[in-house]
Amino acid sequence: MNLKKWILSGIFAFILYLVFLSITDAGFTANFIAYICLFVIAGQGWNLLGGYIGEISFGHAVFFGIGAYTVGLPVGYGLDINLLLLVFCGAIVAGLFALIISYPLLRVQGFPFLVGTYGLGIVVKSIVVVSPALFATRGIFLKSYDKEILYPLIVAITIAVIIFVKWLVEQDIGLKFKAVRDVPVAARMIGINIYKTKATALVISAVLTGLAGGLFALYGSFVNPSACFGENTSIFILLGPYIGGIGTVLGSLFGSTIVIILQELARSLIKVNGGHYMLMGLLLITVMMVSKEGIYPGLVKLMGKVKKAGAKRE
Amino acid sequence: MELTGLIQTIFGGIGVGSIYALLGLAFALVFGRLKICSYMHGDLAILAAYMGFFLFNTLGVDPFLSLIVLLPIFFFLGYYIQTIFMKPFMSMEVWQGRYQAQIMVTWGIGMCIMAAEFMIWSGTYRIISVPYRNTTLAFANITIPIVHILSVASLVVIYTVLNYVLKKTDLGISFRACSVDRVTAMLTGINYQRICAIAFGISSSIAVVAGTFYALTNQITPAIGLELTFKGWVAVIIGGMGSLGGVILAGLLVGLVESLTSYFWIPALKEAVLFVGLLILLITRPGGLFKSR
Amino acid sequence: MKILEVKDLRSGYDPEVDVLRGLSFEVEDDECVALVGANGAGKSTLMKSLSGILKPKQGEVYYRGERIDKLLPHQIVELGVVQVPEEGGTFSNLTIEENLMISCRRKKAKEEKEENLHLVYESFPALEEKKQLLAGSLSGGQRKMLSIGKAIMESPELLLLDDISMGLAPKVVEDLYVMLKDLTKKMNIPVLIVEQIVDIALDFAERGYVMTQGEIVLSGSSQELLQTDEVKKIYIGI
Repeated sequence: MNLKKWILSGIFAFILYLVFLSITDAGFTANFIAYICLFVIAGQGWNLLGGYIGEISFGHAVFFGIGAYTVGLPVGYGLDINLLLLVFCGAIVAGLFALIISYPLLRVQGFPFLVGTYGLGIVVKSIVVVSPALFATRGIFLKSYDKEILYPLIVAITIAVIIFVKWLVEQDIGLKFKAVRDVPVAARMIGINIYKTKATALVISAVLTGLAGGLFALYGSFVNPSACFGENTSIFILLGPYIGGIGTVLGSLFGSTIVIILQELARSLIKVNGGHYMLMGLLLITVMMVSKEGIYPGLVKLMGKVKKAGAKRE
Repeated sequence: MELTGLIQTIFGGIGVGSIYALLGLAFALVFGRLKICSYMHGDLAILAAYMGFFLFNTLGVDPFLSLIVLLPIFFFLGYYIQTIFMKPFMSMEVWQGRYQAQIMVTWGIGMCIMAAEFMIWSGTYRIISVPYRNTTLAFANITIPIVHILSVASLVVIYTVLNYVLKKTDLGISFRACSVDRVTAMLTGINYQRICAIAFGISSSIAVVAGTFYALTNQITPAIGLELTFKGWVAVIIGGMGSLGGVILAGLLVGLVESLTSYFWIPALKEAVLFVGLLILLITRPGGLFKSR
Repeated sequence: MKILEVKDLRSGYDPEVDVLRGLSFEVEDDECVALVGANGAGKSTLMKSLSGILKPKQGEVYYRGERIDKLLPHQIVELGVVQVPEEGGTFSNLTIEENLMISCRRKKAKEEKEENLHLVYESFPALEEKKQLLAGSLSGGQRKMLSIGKAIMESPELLLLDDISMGLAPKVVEDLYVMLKDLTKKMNIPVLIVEQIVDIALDFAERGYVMTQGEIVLSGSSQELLQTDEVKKIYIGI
């Protein structure tokens, strides 16, 4: 079965990573890979809603931030709880929050949904910023977590999440997602509850993004409103799957990786003010104009065409 | 004294709201009729504001005078953005393909505009310090900035002119024809893509007016563009997705909500209150507050 | 002189599937030609390809010896090839008068505006009575009249009629064709008509083609065609 292949390559990738880690000793590259992985997880989460349901969210930083703050807050109040436990709590809290917020948000679709999610991001961020109980703009410092454990853990979770998403979209529920996206009327006719299906996608999406947020808190040992709830976080989460190939697992994985790498490259190489925005903007325009579906599906199509042309020639 | 402050706040809110209404108008014109989604009008507005700032600081040109140059420039900018970047998506299925593609392309362009502003003018807050910036008209105890009066007036003028053009002129009738049936419009001999491009150009010009008034009442920085875009869209959603009159009322309401929140509560929360209001509206009336037809 | 010449036209909606599979026919500048075929023969696809709504994948379309298959819809209209589409055709949010006036886009049409308007109102008196009403308030038959009226306002030099009978009651269709016959005689223009109701179409036209699955299988004068088995098959619907 296809899934078996995925699991095997996942395990292979993980072993490869462990070998790599034992050689380089958790240096800059390992650090960077972990950082990319965080956005890959969040991107996979976003893709479930944005790609498979077709509702673009501009506010996934909310779930990311909730995950991070669920880890940060108990520490800020001096409670001594296992941090990894908190990470998973964070994922669940983000999911619960998504369940509640799905009630108003999923009543609309398309453009209002997009603006609504952006608004949600603003609301939550503003609340955190003005609440002394949530440490306002100061943020919370955490004890730094053992990198030897944390990095492999992040990579392992990333691989697990990718395989989970791949598995999920091939189940009944994944087909329902696509039905709701492509043929909503027909989906309703055969008895699919559109609201419930969308809410399921939103909750799972939030859980994954919350997980990424929790790991981010451990990774950075610091949480503050602008890093966790900021619009830029939403944008990075969104851009990856969109550029890589919306509605495909691999495309979203490539996309998130490309976006984060380019972003960091631009930040260190282009010294001009706003240079990395220019790069992102140009990338977005180019991808949309050349291949509307994103880089990965575009490449697959191109390969198909090349193969076909080759077959014709023979 | 309490009452005077309140009335003052309300007038201020209407003044600020007229800028959002202008932006909303720009969106509603192309979105409500031709189903073109733009995500960059806020950035266009700020770009226009910076250009006004530049002309004022280097050549001493009054921002209103520079509008004479900026309006046509932005008209053609919008015209060519539509023909180059948006045209490939115009025949696509509505929301699924077309809107998403248009949002992403215009957002990309918006990002480039913002980056260019960062490069040229850096992120420092700038103001256009025209002499009449702080001039106010006083009625009894209430003072109203003259810029606010001008922006409300220009809103009324633009709305009236747009309505006249849509109702009476050949261009406006073609525009309405394109909005109801694309294929029939083409078969009637109307150049559909050109009408879309013109509409987008007009909508970009409206954004210029909004940007100029924004620069005259606020400090400008490149990052403000996306925020303005979203506020314009909030006005469109509250206004019922595309009715021009509804969008204007909704834009003024957005301004009112912001200034009243600042007056009664914490200014930092004005956007949060606005979007909470939007979420509540989405629960109770998903079709918008001033839904037409 | 040939006013319209279609050579080996291939067209379709999906890159892999051709609906029209190499279609060729022609229309002289003084005749009325009917294209008949069963449902799904590709008649509407052909009309869309002729008017530029759908870009043909292969083949050529010549109008007065000039190639038009690469032109945009409004450029084709500008040349004088005007189509009455099978669906839509009117703007429901405009008044009838606006609908007619907006169709006056060719230079020639602007010069002949008054005569054309007179002709339309004369042929379809119902439209003149309601000229201030929105087109959305009209009945199906009247909307078709308006759609034809819009084509007339364009001063067509070649009129393409796509399934006029679509969605209308038989009596209305009959009346419409009587009016159309009258109109085209007055205007003296060539007409290409595509129709599902075979006998009406062949009665209206002097010459016809029979289409099956994207290809022309038969051609001849209307009387001849009416006697053939292929046409009878379409007539009874198999």
